[in-house]
Amino acid sequence: MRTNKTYKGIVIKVTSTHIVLMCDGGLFKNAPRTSSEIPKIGQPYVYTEKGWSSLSGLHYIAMASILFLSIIGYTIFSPSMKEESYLIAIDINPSIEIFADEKLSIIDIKALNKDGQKIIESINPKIKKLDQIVKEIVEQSVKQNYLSKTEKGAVVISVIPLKENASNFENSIQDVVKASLEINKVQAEVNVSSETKRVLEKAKQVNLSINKYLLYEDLKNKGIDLNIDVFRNQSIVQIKKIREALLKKKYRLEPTTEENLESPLENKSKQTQTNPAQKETSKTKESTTNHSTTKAEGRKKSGVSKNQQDKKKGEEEDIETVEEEEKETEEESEEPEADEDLEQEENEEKERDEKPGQGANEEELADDSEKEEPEDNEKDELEEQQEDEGK
Amino acid sequence: MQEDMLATLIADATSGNDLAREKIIRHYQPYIINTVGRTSGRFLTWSDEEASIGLLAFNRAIDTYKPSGGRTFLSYTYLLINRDLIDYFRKEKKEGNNLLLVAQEKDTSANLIDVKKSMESYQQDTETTDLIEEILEFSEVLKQFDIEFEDLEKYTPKHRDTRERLIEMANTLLNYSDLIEEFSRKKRLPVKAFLNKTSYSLKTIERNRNYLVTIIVLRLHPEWRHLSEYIQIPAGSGSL
Repeated sequence: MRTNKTYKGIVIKVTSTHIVLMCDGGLFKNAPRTSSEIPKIGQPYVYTEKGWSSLSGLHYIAMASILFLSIIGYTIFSPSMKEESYLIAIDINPSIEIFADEKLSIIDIKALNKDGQKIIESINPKIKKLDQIVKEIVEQSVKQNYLSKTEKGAVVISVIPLKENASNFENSIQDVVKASLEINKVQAEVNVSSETKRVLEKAKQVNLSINKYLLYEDLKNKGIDLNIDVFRNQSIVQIKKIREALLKKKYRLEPTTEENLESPLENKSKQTQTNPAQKETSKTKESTTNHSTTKAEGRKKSGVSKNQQDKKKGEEEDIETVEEEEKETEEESEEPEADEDLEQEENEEKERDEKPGQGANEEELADDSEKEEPEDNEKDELEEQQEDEGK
Repeated sequence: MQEDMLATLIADATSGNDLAREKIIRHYQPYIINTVGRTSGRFLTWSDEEASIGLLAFNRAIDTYKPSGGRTFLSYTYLLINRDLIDYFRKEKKEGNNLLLVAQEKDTSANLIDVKKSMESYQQDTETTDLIEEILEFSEVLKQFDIEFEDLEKYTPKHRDTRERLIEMANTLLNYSDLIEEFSRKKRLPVKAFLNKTSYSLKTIERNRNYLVTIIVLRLHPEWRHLSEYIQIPAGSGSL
């Protein structure tokens, strides 16, 4: 690259080889003189210095390569440089976060758990539009049995605008999901809501997907403090069931709607109630897994405990659990009134096991145990799992 | 050279004072050689014949110059030198000095391009007389400090901000009249005294000594209006 530097000044002397110029800012310059050129002293003179700039060839190569690299880098990473405008968090059990730009094109997809990873791996990577990808996720969830045709599942979606003046499209997403579910003949509760960035950050802090975090917060606000690990490991539909069961228990509400009567809701109450017994059994049979708990506690409990382990045990058992829960559903939903009876029975049973002779405080105790036991339960199971692994 | 001073010198010279004549000639030397060179179309040294013709013409100019004639001394000398040289070239041509002729012809082709330029510059002549005078004086003063114009380039700092800092430094020095007095009297920069009064580093001053001298000389002659324009500095220039 040639640089032409111009010196504008007046001639103050002409020598045999040079024209001495005085330029602005106190600059003196010797301009080379051609043989025929004799400028007059005091005459204005413009000298254009032609020459290579101070940069050597090596510098140019370096600069060119940096430029080249930056262009390459730009083209490679430009998709991720698109600004993320929306975060769409989907929880079925597979928890997936989708980052989209303003035009709802997909920028990034993240799985928040193993199931989510499986789903993402099965998704056609060419899909770039948000509605298509939501549809695909629902379809894949059905295919991989995360959404069962026989059991009512739940699809919870949160839309978090990451930038200001974002438009709302929750309804359209809800429609997409519903349509997709209908096509696949799957029944599921669809819940699409819009959340703020702040909630998202909080959820990230406790390492939960935002939808689970919302449920967690909801329960907390209602005075039910569950261990966060429960949320981490359970699928959203299970958490919902637990939640409703707990709520029902807390307020001692008579089940009025059909939804409330659904037996899987009882899962949680059973789980909490059976815990002490389970605790005992696990202590006596230290090396055994949950599966080997006594038959008296029954398959319901094993179903529950399996649920809690589903992260480790994987898909197969999950299905099993679902099936078992189904059976329960069938059994118990036939007689809605039996719910309360069963619950009370079990309460009594538990208390008899744990603290015989204190039947008077039944209800209070039941409440107390709910608040504390999930943690114990988790701990025990963790211990058990560790032992299992140790083996 | 200031008009009144020049006038007295010329008066002295015409009345037989050779020292005054010599002073005038020495002062206008650069201009004479430049003019001769321009007219001849090639660079000349004092050993060239044209240069001595120019010098002779200049000498005659001193004797014949009349300030009342409406011309500046410079333009008058230019006229005489130019005329004498053209006469000389004609004579050479008549005598058939082929060698010179060839040189002349070669030069005219190059000169043709510059005809317009020189015409313009001639028109400016009267306007630039002052400037030429300033430059000549500047040159003379710098010679007292052993600084030649052609060496100024290598004394000039390359970076603009360095230059500005040095001009500022010169301005600072100008604030001390005792230093200036010493500077003018001894014809050298009073470095030690200056360092005692300011916080500048010796290294900076030593390295740029000649440039500093140049700037101070320029600053000491605010009557050189044209030249002073070239060392304008935004702040602190009003220190004189």
